[in-house]
Amino acid sequence: MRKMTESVEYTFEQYLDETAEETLLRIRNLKKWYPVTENRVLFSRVVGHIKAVDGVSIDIPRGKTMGLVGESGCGKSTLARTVVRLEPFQAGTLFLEDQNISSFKSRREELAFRRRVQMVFQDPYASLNPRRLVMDIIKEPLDIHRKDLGREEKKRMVVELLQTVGLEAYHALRYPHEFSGGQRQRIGIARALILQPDLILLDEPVSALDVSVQASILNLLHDLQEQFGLAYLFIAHDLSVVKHVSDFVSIMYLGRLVEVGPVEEVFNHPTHPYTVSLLSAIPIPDPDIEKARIILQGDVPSPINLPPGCRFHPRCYKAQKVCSEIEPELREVRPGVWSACHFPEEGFEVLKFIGLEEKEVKIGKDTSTGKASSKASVTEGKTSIGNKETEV
Amino acid sequence: MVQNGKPLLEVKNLYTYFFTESGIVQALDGVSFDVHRGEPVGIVGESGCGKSVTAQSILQILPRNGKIIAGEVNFRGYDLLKFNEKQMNHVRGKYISMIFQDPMTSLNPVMRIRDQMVDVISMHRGVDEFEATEIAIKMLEAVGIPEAESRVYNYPHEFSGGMRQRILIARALALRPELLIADEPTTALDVTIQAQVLDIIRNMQQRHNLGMMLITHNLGVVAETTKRVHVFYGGRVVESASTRTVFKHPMHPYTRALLASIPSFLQKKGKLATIPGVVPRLINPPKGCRFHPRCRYATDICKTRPPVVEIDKDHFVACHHYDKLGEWEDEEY
Repeated sequence: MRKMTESVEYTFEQYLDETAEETLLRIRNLKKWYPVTENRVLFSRVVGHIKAVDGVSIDIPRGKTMGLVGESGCGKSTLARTVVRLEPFQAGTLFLEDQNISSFKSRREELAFRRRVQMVFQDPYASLNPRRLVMDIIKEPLDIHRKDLGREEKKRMVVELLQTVGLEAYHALRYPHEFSGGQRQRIGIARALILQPDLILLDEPVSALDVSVQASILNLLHDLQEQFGLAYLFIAHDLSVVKHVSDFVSIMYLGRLVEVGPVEEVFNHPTHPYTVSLLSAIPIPDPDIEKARIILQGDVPSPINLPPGCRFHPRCYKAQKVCSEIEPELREVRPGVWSACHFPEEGFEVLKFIGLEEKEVKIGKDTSTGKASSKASVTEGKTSIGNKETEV
Repeated sequence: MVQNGKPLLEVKNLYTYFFTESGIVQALDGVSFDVHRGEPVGIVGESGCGKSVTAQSILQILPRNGKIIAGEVNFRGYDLLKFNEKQMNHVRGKYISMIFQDPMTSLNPVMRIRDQMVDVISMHRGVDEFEATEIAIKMLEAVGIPEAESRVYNYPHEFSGGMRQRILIARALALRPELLIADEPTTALDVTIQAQVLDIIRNMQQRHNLGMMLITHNLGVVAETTKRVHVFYGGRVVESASTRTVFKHPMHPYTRALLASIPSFLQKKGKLATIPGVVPRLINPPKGCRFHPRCRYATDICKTRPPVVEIDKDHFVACHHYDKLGEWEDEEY
């Protein structure tokens, strides 16, 4: 483990570059600012910027899943949209393998990039054109990118793919409104898959779905990853889902990364107070758990008017004077785990804290034993203990 | 948790149908459950299972094409379905309050918070405007709105989603109702804000000894907030029991499948259990048990309406095969 020093000599970016062998997509210092304008009679004036993404570096390894977590307005969707260039960006570089894709020199280069990187959107009701047949929706990428294929060949590919994502061949001749939310999301996934990309950006792909449907889509994504060796950037706000699907996780707060690392490490032993608060806020479907939780005060501040120093300090239970003065950079706190905090937690155990311990929680089995004492004392500040469930 | 005495709210054999162009939607098909005084009860189920329609039927705020066909809604011994509109207006807000899912659309965007609250408070509690304003400020303080005294004069858009939901809670509780119906109160909120709002709901429920119906699809929220759970499927209650029993010893195949499909915080990467098929359309629902086309234990008898069996004191399940649970135990649910 490298020494943690005040001067940041060894940066997160250097670390990423050194471990870049298996990396598929490299995002470096990406900045996406939206201008805030004040409209006058004849002219408008830029009065500030919304720093939606403010210097984010993420590596997505080949065939693996990078989870991206954060609350609404933290910039996670903007990041994905910027990467696929639905939005332009101000600064930063993007590499797909060794190829710089920050700007496209020709239409051909752009197409080559889009063939390899596809996206699935959150709302399966809004992301499919209601006036087009499923066949045409899924076939469209082929029409653009694979002009070498014949019509029959394309149709055959669509039908085959429909079956791969768990739909039937006859569904190709239906319109989106004839499908349920889960089925529509399958269509969206098929559209992203048809070009056989290397990377799919999934922007909250299961947030609009019911739990049982959500489970089937998560299973499908898992199977597709194994079958095609896909890499995912999985954006979600449901931490249990992210933990379930991801290999690595990046936690975002107000346009910046606050913690990055392998998902087991970060979720079991978080170091950033924001990660700790997020994890302790998840409602656990087990009434036996006597839960300690840190309830954050206040809301996410406006990204127009960012707090000075650490962006999290007004809500942080550990905040001290330095936090409002100096913005912490990402530092390696454990091998592979990077955290942007002046006072990172050490040896924090989430499962103990929220009362889950290391025991297996099995549905339908009685696990009333082993009520962990809440370790609320670990953290000063606003903690409150959940109610104890009355025994039957 | 068995309570003595008459329940605060008793819904008996409620049938609510919607008359649409494509046919009659049997949204509620014989729903029965009760809520006791001071008891937080969870109503759980997936979209389209009738959770929200139940709330709307209790308060009789159904959309125009919805009709209550049969049943009873007994509240403190009175059958609300026999009340006329004027009497219902007296019940709504004063005795039964409701919080809706979307905190943006439940507040009037062109009225100050004060005006929206004072109207209701002065009407139902018979106090003058000044006193009503004071009550409003006190309620806003109780739900954790900072600087309530000045912020009460703000408009809804000046508050964040979490703050708006707090305002709704304050407004719903300002009249000291006896029953609070919360329809997906935290679904639109972020997880840290959800934790704040749930904390307030729990506190207020305990402090005012409220009967509460918490309608949600989030099983985690139910586990943390309620004492008893009614699981809905296809417009019927398929299982009701104490929260602990539902989560630890579920008897209905649907409840078991639903619980198994949540990604657990401990589960390693791998496969989740799923339920085959899709939620039935209630225009032409399956005969008999509405879950039988998706149920792995279904037999011919399931095509007849399942009995509601009392397994235990206060544990009801609507299934023909619940007693085969022992045989199922070892399978991979």
